[in-house]
Amino acid sequence: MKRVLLTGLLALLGCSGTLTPEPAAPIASCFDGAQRTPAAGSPRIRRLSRYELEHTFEALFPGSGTRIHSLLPADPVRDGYDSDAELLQANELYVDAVRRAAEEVSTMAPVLPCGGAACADAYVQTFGAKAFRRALRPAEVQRYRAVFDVVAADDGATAGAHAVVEAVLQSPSFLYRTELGDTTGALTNEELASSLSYALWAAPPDDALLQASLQDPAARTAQVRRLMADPKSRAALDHFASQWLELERLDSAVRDPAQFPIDSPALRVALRAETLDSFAGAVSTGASFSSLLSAVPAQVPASLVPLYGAAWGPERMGLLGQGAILLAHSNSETASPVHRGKLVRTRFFCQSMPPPPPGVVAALPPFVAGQTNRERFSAHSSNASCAGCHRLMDPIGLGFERFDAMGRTVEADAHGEVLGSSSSDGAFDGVPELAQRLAADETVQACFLSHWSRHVLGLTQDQASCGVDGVLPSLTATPGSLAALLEVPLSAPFFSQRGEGSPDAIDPPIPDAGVPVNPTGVVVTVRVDSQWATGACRTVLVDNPTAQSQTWTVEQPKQGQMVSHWSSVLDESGATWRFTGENYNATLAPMSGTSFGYCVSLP
Amino acid sequence: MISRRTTLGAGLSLLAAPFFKAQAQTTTPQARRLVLFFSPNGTAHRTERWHPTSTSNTFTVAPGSILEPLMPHAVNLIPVSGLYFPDATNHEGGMRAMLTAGGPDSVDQYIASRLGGSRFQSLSFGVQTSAWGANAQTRMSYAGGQLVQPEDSPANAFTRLFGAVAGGPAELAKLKRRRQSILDAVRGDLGAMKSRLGAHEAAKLDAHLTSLRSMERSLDAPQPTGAGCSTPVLSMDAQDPSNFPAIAKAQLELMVSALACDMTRVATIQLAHTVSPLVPTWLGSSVSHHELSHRGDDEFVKAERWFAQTFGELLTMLDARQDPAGGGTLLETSAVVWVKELGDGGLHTCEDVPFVLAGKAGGRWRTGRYLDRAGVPHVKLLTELCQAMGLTDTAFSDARYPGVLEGLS
Repeated sequence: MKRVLLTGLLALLGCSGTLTPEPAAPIASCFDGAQRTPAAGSPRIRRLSRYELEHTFEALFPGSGTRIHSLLPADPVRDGYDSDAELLQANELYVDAVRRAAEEVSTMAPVLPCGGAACADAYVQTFGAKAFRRALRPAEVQRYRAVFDVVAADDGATAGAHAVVEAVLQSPSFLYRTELGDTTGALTNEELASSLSYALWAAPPDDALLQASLQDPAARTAQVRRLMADPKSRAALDHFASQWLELERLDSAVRDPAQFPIDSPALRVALRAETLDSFAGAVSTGASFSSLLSAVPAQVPASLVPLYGAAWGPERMGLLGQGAILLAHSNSETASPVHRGKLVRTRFFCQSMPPPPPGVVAALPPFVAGQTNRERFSAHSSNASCAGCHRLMDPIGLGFERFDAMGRTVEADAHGEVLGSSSSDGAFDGVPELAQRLAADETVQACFLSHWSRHVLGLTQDQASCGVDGVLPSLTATPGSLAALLEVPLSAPFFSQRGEGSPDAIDPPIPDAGVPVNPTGVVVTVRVDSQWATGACRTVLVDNPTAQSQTWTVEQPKQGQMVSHWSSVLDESGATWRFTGENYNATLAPMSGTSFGYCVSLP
Repeated sequence: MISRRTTLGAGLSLLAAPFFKAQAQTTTPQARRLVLFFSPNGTAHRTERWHPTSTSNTFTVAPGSILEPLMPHAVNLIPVSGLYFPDATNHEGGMRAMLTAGGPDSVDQYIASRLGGSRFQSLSFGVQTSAWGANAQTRMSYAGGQLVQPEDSPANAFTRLFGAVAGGPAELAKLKRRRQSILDAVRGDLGAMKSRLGAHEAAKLDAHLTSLRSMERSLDAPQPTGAGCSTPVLSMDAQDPSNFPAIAKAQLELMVSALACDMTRVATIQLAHTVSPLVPTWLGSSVSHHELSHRGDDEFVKAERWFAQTFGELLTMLDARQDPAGGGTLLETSAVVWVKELGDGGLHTCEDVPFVLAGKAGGRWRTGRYLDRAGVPHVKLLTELCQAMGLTDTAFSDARYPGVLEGLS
């Protein structure tokens, strides 16, 4: 199946020779009902995107979302989507921005009047569970308790609690979600809850979701429907629709005020809202996917009357008739048949288009007032090196010619033609005829399903397909509603099952970090907190089980090079590293303990 | 030679030690700092608006040409023409290959990772690079195959560089204890999660651990003090196109201050990105810079002249500050390069890509001349940057093209 897809893509990439019917089989086969076992995934972790993190902070600290957006660097995107699990990784700027975000919001955290150890532990457990979207493990409570103790000793319980919040917000258990599964590879209930809530809310799960039995398919479907019906789903739906329809171009498109006095920031806001409202509205009203393409609004909002007039004319229909999309897919002076045709190719047919070949002067003739795009873009079909690809885009885009660079109606010839699609080929006149043809084309729905699925599952377009290498199941027919289509990836085996188990060992094993020499009689435990190819960090727990005060010394074999150490004084002059306490922890009271740590770089 | 600064902690010196062995044991003068300046969408070769003309011991440029605004700095420049990017073409290919020559690391990150020893291994500044997210079109720097994020916000950059909490030794010790306890917990969690992952997924957390360590190092380093080590920035919308010149200026000032205060030895600034929708409205344009580049007309040249002038402002700033490690002004001790991802913008090919080298590179470069190196791969320039910064690499990233660009010294 993959071979078929590749052949199809190659034919397209060259954009020359005979056009084979597109899109490729893995998309087309989504509704053929064939029995296939979709590909199983490996256990993985997914870093929350900036958008998800904004909403996660907002859920924990209302009012903080905007600030988080301005602090964090933009995420890597693939084909316009910021959700790719492979690309979302931490880097220095990100880690530093997260630290600042954590520092800034930690002072907003509610602070319990903590007096004793139990109270501190309860604080750690309560806040930690909210942030981690699951109950904390004992070792985690211990780790954050240690933060509390160190800081509270210096600056009091409030500062200690703030430090706990700061640490929790920088933890991987907050910043990533896991899809690791239990011993059988089945995702845990907590993992499923997060997967569902980030898919449908772009935000953390609520209590009802965390308490549902999500491994039961019926219960899961009920939760999916509850989440989708909740107003919170707008954040996730809007984010997806913006990326699917490339609305980021709406923000960056510049129009000369002299040429387009109608343009204004308020108009752009209204246009964006119209498109996003129509998408979310179709989901919540149970409308079909096709209706997205063919609907005509009963009423034009006042803010858009200057653009559309009092009602949509017969030249305008569905998503493709909306100003946000028409404006975003234009050049700064004129409509762009290329951008509009390419949008249909990539976002509705799932066909990728190569960039213009190098060495060809890709400049259009200068814009001359009165000249039609049909005339201006004719160079694309007369130049052989351009024509191969442009005949797949321009003839579709020229069918949008009744809309100018602002999306306003203009008098023009809007005859277009679709070539090389699966079942939408043929001549058409204007957007309504094109829209109705796309609405009737099953592969367009399959393509949409692939776009939505790759986004919510964090995969590539190839993976989010219905072929043997894809993760989507084949249905026997197109679902009746857009909402049902959105449920498909959430009920796919890939969503809830991993190919192999990756059980939580509760506490990670402690690799041998050398035998500590312990001349003073305290009990010493060395824990390897982390170890990577070129370094390791260790925490040394020093306990005094005796009835007398002890001033401790711990020696460690020199393994690697010391990078940093903390809560201790280091003597490197001897054959071993010799740690003693700092003023505040050098001497341990009876039955008490302390810890210090260090990081080494390894050859 | 590179001197270990006394301000570094013992741990940092040890960490950096292995890298010093790899550095050239030679008396050839070296640059102390590397500064890269990027502007997008190639140049106007079809209308012949870039190439200078060599004269006996200097060069001239045609009136109205792109490099004309840089001529006050002519004595500090080496415009280089003719270089091509092997196996790369087009906007995205050019952006990807410009600093990497096809490898996993861009030359700035490669050099930075081998120098070590500074509070920041490298600093990447951006001006409106991120409206389309981070991808091969919008990023020029890579570390281990991963995109490097520039900081687009002057306000965020300011806080990162100069926003340290002031306080006496006791306060700082307490702060450090607090931070260490937090990092300890975070590292503990990272280790626990990592122990459950296969090698592929564990690499993600390794990247996290490495980043955490870099952050810790930058926080632990002595905070800069003294005049000029905290350039205040005005708060402004970093995404508004009309703010582009103001943001560029603020970022340049922050970058130069960071260099003048010895916070890093490798700094880059990326103005917009290839195919960027940026419209130079401040020059009266209503068409995007990318569209203009396809035309290569006077309006495009006007925009390119603005970028040239901005690069000139960077050079002026560098010449006005002394290198804190000695050796003269930052312009004298640094290797500065204006880089582009394409040759002619309309043809969008990676041939005859225009580079402007500037600064004395510590005495290594003989400036004030124009070099035409037609048909030479740009790999040689990248290798030159490695060697100028004291590395011994003989071919950066692409072993097919060993050696440095000839004629610079």
